[in-house]
Amino acid sequence: MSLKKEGPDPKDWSGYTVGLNFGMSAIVGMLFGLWADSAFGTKPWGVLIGLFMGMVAGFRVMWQATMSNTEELGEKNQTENEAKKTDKTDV
Amino acid sequence: MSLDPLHQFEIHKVYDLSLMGYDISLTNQSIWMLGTSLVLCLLMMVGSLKTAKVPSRMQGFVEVTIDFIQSMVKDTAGKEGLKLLPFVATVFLFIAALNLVGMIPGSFTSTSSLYINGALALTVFVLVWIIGLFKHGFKFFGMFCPAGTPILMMPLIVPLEIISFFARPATLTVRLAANMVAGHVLLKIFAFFCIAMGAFFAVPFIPLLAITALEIFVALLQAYIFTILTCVYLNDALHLH
Repeated sequence: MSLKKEGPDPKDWSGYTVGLNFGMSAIVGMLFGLWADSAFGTKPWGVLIGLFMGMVAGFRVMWQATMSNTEELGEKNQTENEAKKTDKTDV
Repeated sequence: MSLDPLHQFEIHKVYDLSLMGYDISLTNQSIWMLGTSLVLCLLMMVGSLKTAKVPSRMQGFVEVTIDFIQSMVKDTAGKEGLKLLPFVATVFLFIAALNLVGMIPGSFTSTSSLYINGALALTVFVLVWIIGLFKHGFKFFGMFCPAGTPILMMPLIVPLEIISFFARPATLTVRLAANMVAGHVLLKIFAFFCIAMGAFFAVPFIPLLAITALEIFVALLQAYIFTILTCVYLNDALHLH
């Protein structure tokens, strides 16, 4: 016996995390930059590059999540349309 | 009673303790956490003490809960992930119990602290590293360069992958803490409105009731999301792609 027979596909959850992931990616990138600054003494450049890279990483994750979800939706719609077509031919 | 909606998250020492120079005093937070863990352990132990063919209520509760977590792990991390069921089940039950205990008026919501969630998320993060390195060796670092990346793009893609990999535990931490803090602050503000509006207390009271129900749902949902993302990350470590 189980509460949910069909668990959600892990890909469905990637969409939920996108908003926060963007912000946290930027912050983590900036922290990497701060560390690089203190380690190599490259003062403003580490933070700037890190922040920029973090934002790009956030956008990349967002893009990947959106694409994988829309691809799935597209496939679902396609199979539904095909099912409708076969229904019609049956009638 | 304080009107400050954040007053409920203040931590203060209850009993002074120190071990080898480290301050390990019992705070209101650690007492609530210890109590919750104890009650949770007792609940689970009593439920699995006598296993009858026709389960008692306690046994039924334990079986349904564990079965639910098991199917969740199986769906997200595959059959291999089932080895990690004890860990994942502990994380889920711990967070769900702390969130639900936080809904008791006057109690402390331990999952509203960044460092409690941070410790949990770091445990998951370290576990991902251990599993990945033990299972795949140095191939595990291959997950930082996705398949089919042109060599020219490598210096750009690899740092991006590393940043998004390290952002995962941070996201786990902040999501849980932010959801719990926001919900409890909202409850407190609406409760204050009830008192402040005097005769018209019913106006904010009805939304307060609805928000309370929503918060109980959110408490379980956040535990579920934390666990399912844990499973997704463990899945990445188990099955490199």
